[in-house]
Amino acid sequence: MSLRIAAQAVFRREITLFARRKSDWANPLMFFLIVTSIFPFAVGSESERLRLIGIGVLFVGALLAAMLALPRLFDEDAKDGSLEHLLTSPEPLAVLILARVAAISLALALPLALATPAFALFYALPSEVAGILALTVVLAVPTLILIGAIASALLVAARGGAILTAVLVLPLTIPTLIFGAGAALKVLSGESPAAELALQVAYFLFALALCPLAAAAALRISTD
Amino acid sequence: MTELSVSAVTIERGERPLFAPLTFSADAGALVRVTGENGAGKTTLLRALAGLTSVASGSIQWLNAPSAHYNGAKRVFIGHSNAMNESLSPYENLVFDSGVAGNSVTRVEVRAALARTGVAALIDRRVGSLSQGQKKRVALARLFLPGNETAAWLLDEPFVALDVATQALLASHIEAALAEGRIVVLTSHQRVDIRAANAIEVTLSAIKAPERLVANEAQA
Repeated sequence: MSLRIAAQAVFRREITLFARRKSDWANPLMFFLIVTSIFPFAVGSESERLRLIGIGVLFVGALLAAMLALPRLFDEDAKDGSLEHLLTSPEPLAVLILARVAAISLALALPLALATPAFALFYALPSEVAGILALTVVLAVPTLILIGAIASALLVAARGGAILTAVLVLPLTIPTLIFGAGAALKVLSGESPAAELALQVAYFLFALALCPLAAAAALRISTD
Repeated sequence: MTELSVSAVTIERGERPLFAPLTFSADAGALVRVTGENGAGKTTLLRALAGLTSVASGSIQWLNAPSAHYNGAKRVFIGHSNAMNESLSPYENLVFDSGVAGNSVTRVEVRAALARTGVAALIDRRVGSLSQGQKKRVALARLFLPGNETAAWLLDEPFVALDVATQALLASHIEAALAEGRIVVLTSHQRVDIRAANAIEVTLSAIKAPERLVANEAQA
């Protein structure tokens, strides 16, 4: 009962913060728009070439945009001291972290996934490819936030933490990148994306099971 | 009954001990004043008492349970930072604080807690728009939230930024908490009068860095 109260309190606070500070989700969205819209200028307007690179650019752009929200996990709370509340809670820290990851994933994955089909127009991608890309972005963003939770927990209060976090997190997102982009490529060539999607879901579940526990342990060490 | 017992505790920061091994114990209703010069480790000791920092040697026990067990004796720690998100209101912050501790509180209860430190009128203002003193008063209102009725108070420089009248108000709240049989641990550079039947003075003596270490740092 009190565990549910605690998890709800964490979730509700994050959502309230996202509703109040619109820049927290609008900035990643703007970044996503800028990254995906400047690529066609560099590679030219030939639609066959655009279609080939489009899937990769959109997927990587969404991942990089989601990276921008990682300081929301612990850095901000460490600065104003409110991380103490999480650390001294009698409830399991891993569950509280999971609640925060869920709120941040929701607030990011939805706008990014909704924007993906629109931005896919820059690359002349067929609508069914744009649809599957949106779906894989929905799976990839929570995976990235989960992995990011470990890195930001380790590097909380470290100088230059943002760059180091990216260095630690992005290599670990390669599996979800391969499977996600692979699913969209399959659809582009008219095949079934089921295998790639299943593997992407599996990687997400793996992160879901492991990352909150590891992040909790890392947070205890780095704030000691 | 001894509620808090600290035996031969040392705490390290950057592999350097902060103060000489510390031993004291406090019974219910005791006021523990922690004194020491800057850098002696007062804040670190309070964080260790709260369970936020681990000790290098020795042990801290609350009601015979190690300090890192949050399910044991309840403690409210109010540190230098007010531990509030500036984009949220005092109400939202306090609901979060008690929610994370597993208590759901109503708006009436939050307002009552804020009224104890005289800031009930600020309940829906953005914390970022409050003055330092007002922020401190909102942070101190956490002491009066439901669920903290029996908690020990760990107060790190609670009188900083408070006006004279509020300092006296907080002193009277501390006296009332002591009378209820709670332990209050306090660090303060200001000498605010608090009447306590059972007062313990804990003085931390800073350990100077060994010269070899200092030399190494100079080389690096």
